[in-house]
This record gives sequence, C-alpha cells and structure tokens, in this order.
Amino acid sequence: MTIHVSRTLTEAAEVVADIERRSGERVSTCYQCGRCTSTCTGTFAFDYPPHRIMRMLQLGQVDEVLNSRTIQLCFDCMTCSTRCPMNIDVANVIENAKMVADEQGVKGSEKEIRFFRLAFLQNVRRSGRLHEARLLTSFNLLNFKPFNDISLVPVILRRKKVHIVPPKIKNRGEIHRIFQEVNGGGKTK
Amino acid sequence: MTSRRATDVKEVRAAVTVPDLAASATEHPGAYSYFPGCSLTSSAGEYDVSVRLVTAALGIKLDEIPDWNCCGASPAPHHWSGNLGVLLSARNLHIAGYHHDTMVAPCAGCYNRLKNAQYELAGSEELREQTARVLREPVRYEIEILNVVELFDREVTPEMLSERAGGRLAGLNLATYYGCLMTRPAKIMNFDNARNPVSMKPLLKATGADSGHFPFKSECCGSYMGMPKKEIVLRASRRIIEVADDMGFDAIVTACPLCHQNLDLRQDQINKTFGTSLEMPILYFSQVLGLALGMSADDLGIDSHVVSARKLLQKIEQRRERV
Amino acid sequence: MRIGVFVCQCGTNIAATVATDKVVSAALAMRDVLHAESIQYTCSDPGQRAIVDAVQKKGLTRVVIAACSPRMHETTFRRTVSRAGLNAYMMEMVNIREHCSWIHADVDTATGKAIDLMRMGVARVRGQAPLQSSKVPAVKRVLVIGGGVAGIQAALDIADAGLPVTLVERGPSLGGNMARLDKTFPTLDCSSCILTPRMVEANQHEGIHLLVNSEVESVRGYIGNFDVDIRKKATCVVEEKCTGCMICQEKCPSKAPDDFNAGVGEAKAISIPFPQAVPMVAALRKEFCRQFIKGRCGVCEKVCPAGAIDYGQEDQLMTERFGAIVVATGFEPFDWREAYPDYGGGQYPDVITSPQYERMLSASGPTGGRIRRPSDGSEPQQIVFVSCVGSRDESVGRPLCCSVGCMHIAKQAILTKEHLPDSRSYIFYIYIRAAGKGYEEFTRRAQKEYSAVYLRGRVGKIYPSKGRLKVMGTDTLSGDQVEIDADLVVLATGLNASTGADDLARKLNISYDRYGFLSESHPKLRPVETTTGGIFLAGACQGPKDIPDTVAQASAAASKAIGLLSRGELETSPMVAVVNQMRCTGCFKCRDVCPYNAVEAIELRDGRQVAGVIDSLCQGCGVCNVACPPAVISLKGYTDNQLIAETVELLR
Repeated sequence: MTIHVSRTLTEAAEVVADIERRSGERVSTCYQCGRCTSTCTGTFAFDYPPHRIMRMLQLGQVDEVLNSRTIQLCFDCMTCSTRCPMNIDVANVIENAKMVADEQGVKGSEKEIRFFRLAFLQNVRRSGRLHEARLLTSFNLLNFKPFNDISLVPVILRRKKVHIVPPKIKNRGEIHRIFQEVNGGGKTK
Repeated sequence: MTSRRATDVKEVRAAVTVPDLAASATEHPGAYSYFPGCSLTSSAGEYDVSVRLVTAALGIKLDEIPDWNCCGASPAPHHWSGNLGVLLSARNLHIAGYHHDTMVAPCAGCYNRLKNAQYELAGSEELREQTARVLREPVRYEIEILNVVELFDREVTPEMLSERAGGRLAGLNLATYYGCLMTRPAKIMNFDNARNPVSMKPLLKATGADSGHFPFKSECCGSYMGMPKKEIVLRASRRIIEVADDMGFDAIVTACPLCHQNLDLRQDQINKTFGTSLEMPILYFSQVLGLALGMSADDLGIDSHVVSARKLLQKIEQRRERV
Repeated sequence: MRIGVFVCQCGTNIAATVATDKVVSAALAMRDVLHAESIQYTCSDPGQRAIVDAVQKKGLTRVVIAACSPRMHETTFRRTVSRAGLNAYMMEMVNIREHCSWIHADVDTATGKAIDLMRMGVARVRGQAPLQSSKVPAVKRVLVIGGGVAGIQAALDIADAGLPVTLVERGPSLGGNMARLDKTFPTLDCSSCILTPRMVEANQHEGIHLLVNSEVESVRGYIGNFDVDIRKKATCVVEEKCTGCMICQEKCPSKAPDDFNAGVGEAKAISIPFPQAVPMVAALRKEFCRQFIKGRCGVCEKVCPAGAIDYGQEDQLMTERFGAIVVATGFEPFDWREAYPDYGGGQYPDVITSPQYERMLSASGPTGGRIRRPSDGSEPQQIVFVSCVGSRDESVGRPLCCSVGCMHIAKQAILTKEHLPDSRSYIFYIYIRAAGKGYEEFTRRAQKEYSAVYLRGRVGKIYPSKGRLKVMGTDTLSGDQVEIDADLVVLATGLNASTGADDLARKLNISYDRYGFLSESHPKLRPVETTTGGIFLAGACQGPKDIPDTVAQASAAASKAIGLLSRGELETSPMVAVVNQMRCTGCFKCRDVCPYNAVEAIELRDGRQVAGVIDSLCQGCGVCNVACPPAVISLKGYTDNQLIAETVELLR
C-alpha cells in the first residue's frame, strides 16, 4: 500500500487540526517511541495499536483512524498517557478522534459497545440508578445473546449480589432533565 | 464458615445505620457525605458493608447523601454522550455539598467521575449554567472529594492502626492493586503518584502484613468490557492475577468494585478460558482493615466473594492461635 | 567635540527592520555630530576602513557605532578606532540588533527605538574620557581539576608546553570513567591498555604535580591570578611508603561500597580501587572503617609490610596561585530507580545498568569477566538491552540525548556474544546515533556479525515471571507489541554531571544547566571557554560526549590556557571603579558589598582612613557605585554624569 503523503496531509489537515484543538495535543510531538503500545491493555483487540494511531494522524490517514476499531474499543485506562515520555495524553487524542468520528456519523463495527452503552443509559434514565440485573438482560437481548454470562447468574443470586427489584430515586425529574439537556441522551447518536 | 449463607447486605445496612443527610445536618459536624454508588448497593454490597463497619469501629461518621443518582460511570464519559457524565455527577456534588465539606466515594469509578465533573465545572461557565438549568438553582460543586484510601489515611495514622491491629495480619503478603481510575488522569485526580502509586502501603503495613512490590499494581483489569467484550477483561485480569500468584502474594487488595468484579467474579471464567487454576482471593481495602481490627470475615462480607479466601483466613487464624 | 556615528545595516539583520538612513539623519541633527553614515557590514574590512577614513579625514574625536551586541564586536571596534589614532575607549557601541531589530517586527517602532538608542550612545560618549588599560602579571601555572582522560590529556598538553600543572583528583586514582570501561568503541581497544600509559605519564611528568584524594575548597582572584585552596584528604596511608602490595585490602575485615565497580560486588574500607590504579597507593575510607567507627581494629597497620599506615594522618590544606584553571570533572550515570518504577525501580536483581554490566564484562571486575545473573549466578542466554533510560524522556524531566548510549549498547552486545556464543542479545532502541568515524559501521556489525536483534521501541514494563524477567515492549517497525522472556536486562542509563559539579561551578563563578553540565561561553564559537575569563572546560563536564571528543576538547582547553599565559601578563579592563578620596567618609560600605575583595583601606596624610580600589582586582561591576552613601565612587566608562546624560537624552 502506498500512502500519498502530500495528498493525505493536505486533505486531512482540517480534521487533524480539529482533533489537535480538542485534545490540546500536537501530533508532531510524538516521536514514535512506542511506549504507549508496550503496555496498552487493549492492544490485542485493536486493529491499530496506539502508536500507529498517532502515526496515522501524523501522516494524515484520518479515514483509517476514524473508521478504526481502536477508537471504538479504547476504554480509557490511560496507561498510555501516563507513560508517554513526551507527556502526550494519548488516550485523550483517541477519545477526541472518537468524538469526531461520532459527529461524522461513523457507526463503527463494535456493536456490543453500542448496545452496552444503550442498555446502561436507558437503565439509568429510567430509575436514576443502575439496576444491574436488568442491565445484563437488556444487553443480552440487544445483542441477541441471551445466554451470555449465564454462568454468573447462580453465583450472583446465591451471594445476594443484586437486587431483583430495581432501585428508584425520588427526584427522577432531574434525571430526565439531564438526559434532555444532552439531546435525547440514552439513545445512540 | 462455608455452610453459612452469604452475608445479607440489607441486614448489615440496617444494623449499621447511616442517617439521612438532611436529618443529621448539625448533629455530625465532623462527618463525611457518603456516596456509595450503584455497585456498592448491589453487586459490591460487601464493599459498602465493610466500609460502614470499619468506619463505625474507628469513630468516623458517614452520612449517606439522600436520593443520589448513578454517576454514569463507564458509558457516560464525555466522549460518548456530550456532558451527560458531568451533569449526572454534578447533581451528586450539589446534594453532597448541602451539609458537609467533604465527601467520600469508595467506588473508584464514581470517585473519578465526581472529580472529573468538578474539574470541568470549575473550568466552564457554560457547563455551570447548563447544570443550573437542570437543578433549577446554581450548582454547588466545590466539595472536597475523597476515595476510601484517602479517608482512612486522613482519619487513622499507621501508629494508631498498628496498635489496634497488634500485628494480626503478620505473615500475609498482600498485593496492592490500584487499577486506573483512582490515579488517572493525573492532573485531574491529583491523588498519589499515577506512575507509581503507593498510598495503600502505610496502612497495610500497619496491619502487620507485608506489601511487596507488585509490578501490575496500576494496570487495567479490563474496565467495563466484561459485558461487551469479555475477552479483554479475561486477558487483562488474568495477567494481573497470574503475576500476583507467581510472585507469591496471598491476596490482591483493591479499592474499586469493578476491578473486584473482573478479578473475583470472573476468575472462574478466566480459569475455564485459559486452562489456568488460579485461586487468588480479591479483598477490598476496607475488608483488610476490618480483618486487622479483629472483625470476622463473614461480617465483612468476605464470604460473598466468589474466590474463597479460606487459605488466607486460615493463616490469620493460625497466627492468632500461636500468639 | 567631533563625534562620528556609524550605523550598521548588518545585511538585512538590522536593515530589514530599522531604517538606517533615518537613524543617520537623526544623528546628523544632533550637536557635535559631524559625521554619520550607514554601512552594510561594519565589522568587515571595508566597513572598518570607512571608520578609520572618516576619523582621520574629519578629525573625529569620538565615535558611536550602532550595530550588534558589544559581546560580538566591541573588541573589534576598539581596535579599529585605535588604528585610526584614537584612544580605544573613545568609542561607544550601541546595540540596535539584539536589542532592537531582532526583537521587534514593526519598522516604525523599531526605527524610533534605534534612534533613541543611538542618541543615548552619543550622550554617553560625550562624557567619555580616554582610558588606559593596564597589564597585570599572570602566573604561569595551571590548575586542572579532575583526573579522568580529559584532565590527563589537558595536563599533559600544558606540561609539555612548559607550563607547570597541578592536577587535582577527588578519588584515590587517576582514570575516571574511562578506567571503568572494558573495551572502547568502535575499535574495541582495551580501555585500560590505552589509558594507563597516559596515567603513568601524568604521574611521572616533571611538570605535573599530582594531588589525589584532593578537592578544591575555594577559589579567589581573577584571570591570571587565581588563589585556590586545595584540601588533600587524610587517607591514613603515607603515600611515599605504600608499595601497592594490597595486603591491607586483603586482610581488612570492614566491607565498604565498591564505587569503582558501580556498586556490583563489595570493596573494603581500605583499598586500591583497581589493579592498574595510578598512583598505586591504598586509601582508607574512615566512614566504613572499624578502627574509626568502633575504635578497635588496626589490622591493616599490623599487616602492612611497609609501615605505611598512619591513623593519625590529617587533612592537608594548601593554597596556590594559578593563572588559569581547566575544569575536567567528568560525568556520572543517572540514578534511574525512582524515575522508572515500571522497570522495577531497582528491586529486581537481574535488571542492571550498563555501567554495572561493563564491570561484569571486565576481566578485572568483580566477576572476573564472567557474565552472570546476579540473582542466581547462572549464565544468561537471553539478554535485553534498553536504550534511553533517563534520556529523551520529558516525562522524567530529561529531554537530552546521552550521545554515547547507542554505541555503548552495540559494543556491549558484541562483547556479550564473544563471552557467551550461545546467547542472544535484544536491543530496544528508538534511533541509532552513530555519528562518529566508523560508528555506523560498528552498529551494523553488531547486527550482521553478532546477531544482535534490534527492536525499535521503548520498553513499557519489566516484571519477574517464573524466575526470569518478562520484558514488554514494542517494535514500531513491525507495528506490534513484543514480549521477551529475558534472563538479564541491561539499562542504558543517561548521564549527569559528576556530583558536586554545581558546587564547584559556584566556587568558580561559572554557570551550569539543569543536569549540572557546565556552560560554555558560546555554544558554537567558544566551546571550551566559560563566562569567567581564565577558566576552561574539558570533557564530559561540559556535556555528554565520547572519548575522541573528550580528548579533542581537552587539548583545545589546554591550548587556550597556554595561549592565555604565554606572554606572562594580561591586559585588564580600565573600566574600574575609582573613589573620590577627598570626599570619602570612610564608611567602607563599598568594601562590604564588593564581590571581588577589590577595596582596601588607605590612610591619607591627615590620618583619615578612606577607601581605595585595587584596579587589578576590580571587575567594574558597579555595586560599590550604587552602595556608596555620599556617592563618591564612580565607574570609569560608566560615570554618573554619563548615565544621567543618557537618561536626559532619552527623555528629551
């Protein structure tokens, strides 16, 4: 594969500048030492490890970045940011790339994560607190995998680790207002 | 011990009452606003119980904030949902600030979200206005936020604890595990040293236990990926437990209910998936302090854990008999 | 008064932002200014000739040159006006480049400022009086501080030129860091083999007075005449009697840290640091010695066949005068343990530093040249080298490159393969800096002939696993995380200036950077001089560097010292303070504040004690001028009248 660097840099300049502005980092600061990748917890599941995301931003390959699994899957453990020798908050760059991808309508291939988020936020919106049992069932339904984690259920029940009846807070109106403020929160953007 | 039913969280909660904040306003001047969070009121019930028991034993007063809501934890950080995370936590900060100047959130996730919300609110008038619209009054967000390690550090000196513990946990080697959210991102959390956290050590040492260097003390357990992408949690947690096992630790001590869930609840899944035979008990920091103070494992909810702490408790028992 | 003003354009450096023709017109509008012109490059030959011509043709008596910083060309232009027949100090240089054109962007503002500055210069030169510099005798002796290869080279060069040298070394032997090396890159010369002849020469040279176990305690004076207090520490060994037989070391029961071997292995309280030490004389470290701690032992005294032990020996203090000082205090490795908890922070015995590994490789080291795992003494098979530990890392406050790490590791990997043919070395690097002669070829050899596996990436974590070490890193070239099961890990640690370099710098009044490296006076053009005249730098004390660069710099510093003292006398600046003794009240506040001890008490005819300035010591700093309550001290070249005239002109 050939990267037409002069072309990619020109075409991607705006998007990269946007990500830089949002995250407060300059991608040129990175000298590609790879320390972020060395201890990245999720790297085995990503398509591109964190240092490659930085490299692609440096070379203007924004399409690859915005459509990557990495930015969808990264769960912000911030191990990369804490270890970067140039003090770059790498996790923040990836997070902001995800925001840009979201705004551009990139759905991404990680449907489980979207379902999890949906299930979680619906749950919280309804009662103000998380009802864990319902979270598992609604996630499994959305994901069409009703028997996911079924092995944990007896354990959880035996040890009385979850409520059967969902907790509810009194002032749910405020919670609804919060979700309204955030443009129909609880739904995938 | 195994024949007894698991700790009934509701019973303990009833027994160790934490009065409603509004009611106790002036009665407890030195008290802390207490924010349990969703996990502590369900699957991590034993963390809540152990915190309540140990604080009561040490004379620390907690007032649960009334009508608190979920902080949004994993799915609500800002890259996913605009300001949802900030707003959810802002409400809690606002309520907590009603009567006390300091609040405690034992869940590392809630702690992280609350501190993050505070940071964002301090830096953005727009956010403060948005929050005020929701709350229908200006938001109060400057309360001091502590995690459980900070709370005990503040209220108990190692000398005090050492005296009361009388070396009860001597002979145990405990791996301190901080996870991610308590210390990172460093500039917002401003707690301990993000690259090399050591805050649990002084009190753990005071219990008589050893707490050697654990190289995976701040590696991620897999976070909220347990449901959506189980492999991530299984791989990440496996390595943490395996290294602790290889280095000869008796237990991993944590202060985060999600870490606990990934390491304890899913340890069976780890064993089945990778063909390992790990049996590493995962204890909460507050439970360890409770054991050091002579409380029973059952009271502290240790029998609610999936991985049995039998061997470790036997060691403590044997030492007690010898002394 | 006939004043000439010359405005330099400096190509476009000044002319692009300052309209020099306007400055010329403004100058001509001033009274007493008979001549003003703008020159493209004033410091050039034609530029200088133009000044000389104008002075001679128009009979100018004072000159103002508006150009770059006096630090660049003040000396040049003083010579120019001297050639034209004027006193060298009847020239005022005004900085309209660094102070004006280089820091402003707007042409109108910059020109206005340049005109102001020029007018102030004219006002000042009006009040100037001719000054004569004087000559001070310079002592033809040089002090070299530091007995590593830089200090040795400088001392030999200077002594060979006929100037006596005192070479002061803090430790018990010459050799410094180079003596700790096994082999040197890129030739794989045995380090001691090439260094010891020099060490011996330095010790035996007629012109070199060697003082080991000695430190500089304080420095007074100035270029050509430095008074230095040197403390020779008591080692409880009479140097002249000791034969270097090492029996005392063998029998000594007190253990002590082995500094020479980078902390690997143990030494004794009385010891000779290494078998080729020069001088070959034992030294006792009281803080580890049973005789001094407990009051009971005396073993070495009993067994010494030469009767060279003297527990009562005391420190010796001596004061000597030198014309120049060469600082060659070298470097030491950065202590990585606190900054890199991910590599174990020092808790894993099988994670060692490259200096420690070097001692392990050396046949005269603590393992007799056998490579062993410190944890269990077995031979390692998989050895991992980690570059840049404490270098190029902003997050631990060390963005600098150590400049020798890449070569050092390549060398150690080659030597490892020679010692252990069945082993494999992995080198985590980020760049390979191999700029010297033969260096690039050397690193290629490590890969081609010695099978070193180069992985590009920083190591994230090292942790113990089943008796070995897991190294988690990255290979950015293939784009993936990599993991290695290692037996031994060697960290290439960064370099700092030697401990105490900053203290010494303060004593010498020279500057240093955040790592303690001493500052040269100009990074390009004056690499061996400092901002204090007469004090020169040689070797790694100025910045991390390899042996060829160190030796070259040492010879450069030596040549500067030789050149300075070759005539036996130095010209001093005439811009010194002068006291109006008739009106001095004798309060001596000036003496209290003078940093150079350049004020003495003088008794007048009527018995009054007044202050007098010692011209040769005075550096013209002006502090006395400010401190004097009745304001009777003035600074030649910067009199109060001149300064007031400048200010008045500016406010006009």
